[in-house]
Amino acid sequence: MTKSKRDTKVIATYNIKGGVGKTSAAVNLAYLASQAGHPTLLWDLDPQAASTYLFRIRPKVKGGGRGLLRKRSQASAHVKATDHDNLELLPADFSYRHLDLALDQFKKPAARLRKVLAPLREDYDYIFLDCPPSISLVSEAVFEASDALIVPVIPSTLSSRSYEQLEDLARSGKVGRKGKTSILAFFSMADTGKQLHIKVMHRLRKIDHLSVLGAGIPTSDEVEMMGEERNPVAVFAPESSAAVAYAALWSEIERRLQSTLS
Amino acid sequence: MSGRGELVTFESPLGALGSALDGDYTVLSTDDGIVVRDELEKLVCRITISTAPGGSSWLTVDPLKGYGRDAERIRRRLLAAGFLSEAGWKNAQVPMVADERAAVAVARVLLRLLQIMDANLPAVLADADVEFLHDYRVAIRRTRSVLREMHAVFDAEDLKRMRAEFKWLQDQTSATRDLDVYLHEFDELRSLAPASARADLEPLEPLLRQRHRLARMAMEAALTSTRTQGLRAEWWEILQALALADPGGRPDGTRTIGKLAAKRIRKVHRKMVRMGSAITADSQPDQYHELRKKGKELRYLLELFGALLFDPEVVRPLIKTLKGLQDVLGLHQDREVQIEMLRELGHDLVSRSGGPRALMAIGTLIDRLEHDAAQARGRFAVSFEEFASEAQCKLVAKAFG
Repeated sequence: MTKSKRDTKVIATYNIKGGVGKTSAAVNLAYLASQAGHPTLLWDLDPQAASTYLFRIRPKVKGGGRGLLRKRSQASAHVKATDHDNLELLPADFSYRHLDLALDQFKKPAARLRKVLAPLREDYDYIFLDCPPSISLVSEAVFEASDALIVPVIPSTLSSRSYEQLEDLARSGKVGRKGKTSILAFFSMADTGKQLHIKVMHRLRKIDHLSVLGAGIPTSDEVEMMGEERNPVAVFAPESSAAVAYAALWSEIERRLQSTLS
Repeated sequence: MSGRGELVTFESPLGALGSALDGDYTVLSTDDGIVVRDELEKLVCRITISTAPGGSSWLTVDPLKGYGRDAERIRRRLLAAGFLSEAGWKNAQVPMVADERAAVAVARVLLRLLQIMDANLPAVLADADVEFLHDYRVAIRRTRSVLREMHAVFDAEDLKRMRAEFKWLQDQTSATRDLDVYLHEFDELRSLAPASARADLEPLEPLLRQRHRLARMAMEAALTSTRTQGLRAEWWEILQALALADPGGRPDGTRTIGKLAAKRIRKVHRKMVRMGSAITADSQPDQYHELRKKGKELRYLLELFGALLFDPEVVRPLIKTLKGLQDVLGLHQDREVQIEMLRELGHDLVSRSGGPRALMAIGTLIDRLEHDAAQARGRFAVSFEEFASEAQCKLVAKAFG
């Protein structure tokens, strides 16, 4: 496929808070995209390197984050194949913890990531960005580069507040390219046995039903097992509720993206 | 041209692979074939072992993206374990010393080349990968080159017959190899044409494929014929006799390989300098081609004998400058051959659907190829000057004096 024909979609999994299921979402959704035959790249931007670990890849990028941003070397030279067909990874590197500083040296820091991604668009249908939890120059650059932000929200009061904050930012035009970045939240680690979870889910869906996806990921042993198995859930527990939930989530995201872009 | 690996001779390779890589990698047999994992249990490469009917086996190491270094390390480990037979089948060099009898050293080199032909032939016939035919042909070409350059050690009758027979054998494989290359390069060739003409070249590909099929059939018939079998048997007898013959009664009994090789290298180098100096901007393509053929002879002499017998400080850079020159001559020759092929295909194309448009597209493509050939001619002077410089000539005279 030639450059002009490929309509690559950049999808970031993001939340200001950590430990909400960003990495699990990035890994599982990227896997599902790739298994549907789409050449897919996952860039692990989090210096904690959880996605990189889950794919058994060394968290090392020669030249570090700074080198990648300066485009001294093409990003594609650092890409590693995962064990799964069609799915490749741009690994995390410990230097990514200073990515903010590195970005700040550019005239238009927020646009930099987009530039680095540009040549990669030729090779992939989907590029996933697994982002570190924070509000920083890195997240701004991620917003700028993405067609969609996928925001896992644990349906508890505190966690849902961070989503509301993000919504506010988006409304004021401070997140993403104006009108071009979809913000899609989904409930993560949802426990329908808990009254509080049900209450919060209900409240959030009412605030903005357009952005909260119908499919959610339940709390599950299988998602926790990913760290042990070092594989997407669908590989080692394809029948599990988590695997089914990710599949439903992915098909909803894909549908949303298609309708937004068409 | 392809991802084909080296020929291997192990009977049960999985266990041997495992122990060769033990410590750093784990080798597993899976539904997808043989996979190699690193100490993080990450899949780093796949290994494929294929066997052609007739016995040739070969092994391919396919790295996953981003794991080229591991694959190289794995290759080296397999090589060190005597597993990959790169040293076995690719390399035609045999150990030799300067003061051994020329006839014996030459016989050993030629037996080695015969071994390489034998190893590749089953895979050539099985059409396993185009590279087998390439290696088979290189071994024949080297054999012919040694026959020509080292003629002094052969009986005149044997020499004449074997030269004719090996020429015949090589001729039987040429059409298939040429078409292998055309088909492989078809996309590249098409991309050289102007964008507007590319689609018009479509009718060319089925025509090439049809010719390729016919050429292969003819080649297979020739390679399995009694003539080829007879040639192989007789050649083996001649080489055995040459290696074992009593030196006493032979006129060349005392000639050493060091002296003979030095003389031939000097002579071929001198000849190349003479041929190249006669080439001008107006020279015919044939003159470039003849120089390239001589260059191959020199290269084989240097690789099969020179590198083992003489100062590597001289031989290595000489091979390098020669390679630079041969690359330029090679590009020129490739383009000339492509032009000739396209012109010749034109006759068959006319009657096909889309033929006239294809013919016009071929015209524009030929213009482009001629331009390339002219550029290569332009680069020739620089490469040749380096090869034939006075300093280089003095060095050759001294090292092979």
